[in-house]
Amino acid sequence: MFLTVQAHEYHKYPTLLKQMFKLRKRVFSDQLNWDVPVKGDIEKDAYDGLNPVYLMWCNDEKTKLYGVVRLMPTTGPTLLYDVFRNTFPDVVSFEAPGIWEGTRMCIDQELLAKDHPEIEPGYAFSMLLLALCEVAIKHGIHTMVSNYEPQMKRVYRRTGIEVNELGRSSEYGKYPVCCSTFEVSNQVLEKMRKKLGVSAPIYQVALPKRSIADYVLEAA
Amino acid sequence: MNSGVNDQDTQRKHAFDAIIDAKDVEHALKLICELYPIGHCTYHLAQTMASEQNVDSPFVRTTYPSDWVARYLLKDYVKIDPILKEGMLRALPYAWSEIEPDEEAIELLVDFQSHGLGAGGYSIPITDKVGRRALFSLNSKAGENSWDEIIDQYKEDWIELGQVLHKKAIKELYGDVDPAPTLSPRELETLHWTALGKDYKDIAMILDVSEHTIRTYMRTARLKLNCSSMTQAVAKASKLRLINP
Repeated sequence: MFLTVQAHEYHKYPTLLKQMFKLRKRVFSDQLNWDVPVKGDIEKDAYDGLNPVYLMWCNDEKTKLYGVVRLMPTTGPTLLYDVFRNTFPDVVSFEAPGIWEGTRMCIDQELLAKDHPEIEPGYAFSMLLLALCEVAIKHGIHTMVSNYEPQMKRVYRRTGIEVNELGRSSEYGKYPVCCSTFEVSNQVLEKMRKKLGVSAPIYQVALPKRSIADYVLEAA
Repeated sequence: MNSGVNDQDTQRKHAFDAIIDAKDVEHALKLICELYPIGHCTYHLAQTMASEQNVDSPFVRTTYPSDWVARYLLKDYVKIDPILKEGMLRALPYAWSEIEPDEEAIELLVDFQSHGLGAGGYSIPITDKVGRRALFSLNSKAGENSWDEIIDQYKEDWIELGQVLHKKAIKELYGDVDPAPTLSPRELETLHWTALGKDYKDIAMILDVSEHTIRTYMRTARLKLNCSSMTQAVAKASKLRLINP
């Protein structure tokens, strides 16, 4: 299942969050050699302290994390703004309430291969992108800004996403990292669903058993 | 065939113009209530941080009736208000139906209802580059049956209006210290070509980037200049001498 975890509910998912920081260390530091802050077996940076939203892909019991991406509004402090600002002045302009940045997107390929051998890694990444598209539409986001290693472009294309590259930065470490925007709309969503052979929504906003309206109407 | 869309566009433009022109946050909120099918709305800038010691209390403006505001203050509801409590932590906009109220909050909600206020709501968390947090909340009319549809229809407008209100609030608090906005080279180029009568398709070709990217530059440039249309943005940018077409 896909779920969004925001600051008011971090305390509900300590296991998933811990797995996330460990996964990020394995992916971004060990595999991709990105210059990211690592402490022991976890990778965590300053932006994790700014109450970002984590879009998580996990099992239904919410005990195992398969993938994650971190989301922040571009109106606030963001990683891409800070990192790419000097190299690519254009990024400065991507600052509006309907534009969000997605960073540290990754998949736990080992765990996924164990639990879901039928899902190949590229497809898994595409599914996470599809969930991201649904989350964005649901919340009035029309554009995503994201960073990724150049070879990921292929996956984006296969998912039906058109990326508009803003530039590349070598400030991350060994290899250049791309910074791109992509459009979020119902047309894009339809295209992605078609490419991936998905017909129904894969993300749903979690609702409480009793809502505020229930209490209010009951009192009426 | 597109007349429906154009109507909403024109309507939206008029609404934005009026709200941007409103003399302060309070007037802007009143206008929002008149222009959208909602009951009330509130803008709440959080207790400011240590870096801004000149303001030590939250900045709140609302259209709620004064008896409810008095009640809210008297009962010190701000401490238990579930919308506010979560709103300062959440980042994505949310419908109030997503919130699970705790015991304390239920009393507040019952009280809220007894003041004849609607059960539905939608809140938009706002974060700015300095890290200030604010919340823009819209409350449904009492007895509203299609609140979810209303949210879907207007949420993108409201999300942008949240930003407009935030700018207004900062101006009210700190005066007109914000100089002309910083526009990126691409935004300036887009404005420049727009001033010369090119549309986004032409500009996309000239600058060799996608049409969507150009539309995004137009949107960000327009918002930074606090304008509701590109024509206005071009005029303002010329006046500020940001472009010389």
